Amino acid sequence: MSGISDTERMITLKTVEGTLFDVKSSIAKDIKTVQAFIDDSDDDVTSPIPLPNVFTRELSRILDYLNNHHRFRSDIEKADEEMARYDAEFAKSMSHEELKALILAANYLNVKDLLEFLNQTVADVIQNKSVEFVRNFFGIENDYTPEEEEKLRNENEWAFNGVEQD
Amino acid sequence: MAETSTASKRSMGTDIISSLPNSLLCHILSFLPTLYAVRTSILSRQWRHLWKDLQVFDFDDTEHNWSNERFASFIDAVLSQLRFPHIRNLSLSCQRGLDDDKVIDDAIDNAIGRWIRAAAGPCLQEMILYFNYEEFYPDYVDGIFTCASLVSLTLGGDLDLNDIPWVYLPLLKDLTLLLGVSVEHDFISGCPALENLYIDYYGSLYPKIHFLSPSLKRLSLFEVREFDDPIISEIQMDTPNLEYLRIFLTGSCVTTLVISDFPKIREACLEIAPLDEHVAWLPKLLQALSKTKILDFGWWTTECLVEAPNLHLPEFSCVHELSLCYSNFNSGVLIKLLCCCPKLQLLEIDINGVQYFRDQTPQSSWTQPASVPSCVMSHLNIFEFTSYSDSSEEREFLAYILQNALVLKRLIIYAKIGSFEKEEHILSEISVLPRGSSICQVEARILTSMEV
Repeated sequence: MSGISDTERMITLKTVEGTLFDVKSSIAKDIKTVQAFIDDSDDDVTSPIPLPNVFTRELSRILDYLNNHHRFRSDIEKADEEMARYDAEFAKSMSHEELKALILAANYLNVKDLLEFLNQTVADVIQNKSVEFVRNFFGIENDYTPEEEEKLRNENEWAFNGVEQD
Repeated sequence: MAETSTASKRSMGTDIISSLPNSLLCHILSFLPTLYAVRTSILSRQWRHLWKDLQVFDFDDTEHNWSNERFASFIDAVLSQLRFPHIRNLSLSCQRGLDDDKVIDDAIDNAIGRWIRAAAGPCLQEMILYFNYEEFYPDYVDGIFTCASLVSLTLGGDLDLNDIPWVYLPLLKDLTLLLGVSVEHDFISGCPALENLYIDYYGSLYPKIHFLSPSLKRLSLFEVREFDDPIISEIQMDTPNLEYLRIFLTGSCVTTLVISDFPKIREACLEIAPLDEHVAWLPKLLQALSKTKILDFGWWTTECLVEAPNLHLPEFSCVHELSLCYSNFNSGVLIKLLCCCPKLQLLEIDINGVQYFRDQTPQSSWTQPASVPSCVMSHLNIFEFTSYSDSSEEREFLAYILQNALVLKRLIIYAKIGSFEKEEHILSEISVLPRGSSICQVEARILTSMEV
């Protein structure tokens, strides 16, 4: 498509492990933390930008997501359908621990759309589910005593009684 | 602890979510209906007070079979326990506010007023309100229309906005109206930053609608009434920066359309009932849209063109994507349109209109055009034909495109159920047709009964 020339400026990102990634500047714009770094630099950014909180696995996933979304947006045919299919696969391909690591990385890098998508993914798990299901699903340890839990349920009785759940 | 063996930590029983910072957990909660966000307080001590930092709320009285009283006490309890009473987003759906005698329940009405006043503060950015009261306008809604921070507003139900005393929403970008009563007075002139306007009227339409907005980029107007009681009306559009227009006029008879050009238009989707009055102004509308890149005609709009074969079409010099729905395939209209779109790359046609028109429209037949439309020879890349029934006219048209489309890359046929027994039959029928493009891939599938 027009607008993206072959000579587009590239930005190099460096992960915790020292892996280098070359990123088109149009993609870097969606990574707000990186873009802020570029905006704050007086000269052209030539040396790699260090990302002290981001691991190679997460950065690679994030770039994969952004590249694909850019590609979908520039395609005139069936952009929304393909994007939805890709997103569903993307969410399914991760373990909980990987999902959490990716949320942290997306949050640090300030990739707004991806962060919203990931948090929505977690919210979808919680919705319509019983408290016990959510505890089991995420491995949350219940550190209330049975008496405390009972008291809390009674205090906010309107939130717990008569609510249908899956 | 160093991340040495991540795999071994993936077992159940390791808390994989609670170690996220509270701000992120709260962000996750903001995607939930508020009831489910509150319920997470019981997960563990860490979660106990998290929801009290929420700024995004979603209350819906149709979600559970609750009494109005319980619904009200639930919302009051949530709002009274917040750590900071600054609501950013509020979605409030009160669709059961009437008692059995269709009288407004005073208690819930007072409560709604209380919640709206609490929300309409300096932090409110997004508001969604659904009511099902009979055409009324409670004065507590006033505060919303002067909320300086509001960016997005959705109003649904039978609110009568013609009683609003004053509208000034300087930051409002998105406005959605899903109303039974159309707005006669100039609502949007108080919204100088408005970019997206989505209107769906399902009730009475006032005689005149006027859109005057230099900032507006996207306009969707749906109006779906019973067809046997058309209301005569007039539409005026002064929206010079419009990029997207979607009009769905199927129940009313618009006698007058006053428009200026849309020089920035990118996409236009038209579904316009084939009435003589509409056919009279349709050429003017198409002329104003002539710079669009994407053009989408619903089957009623196509019917307008079929019924008025001499209707003047402008040259759509920028259109690269054309979608056309039909009730009955008509190759004459299609060829005429192709001649007006010299840069067309993607053509989608779909024969899915309802039976109502199928019975009325006379059968057309294939006539060899005097010359091949230039887009077919030089630009057409993709041709998708949905609900192909293998009538002789359809087959002739298909053969014509295959022979003359010199740069066609993909031909996709979704055949109607019953027209072919197997996919291979479609492919073998197509394989004998001469092809102008050596790189054309053919895909074929028979639609299932669900897809028709």
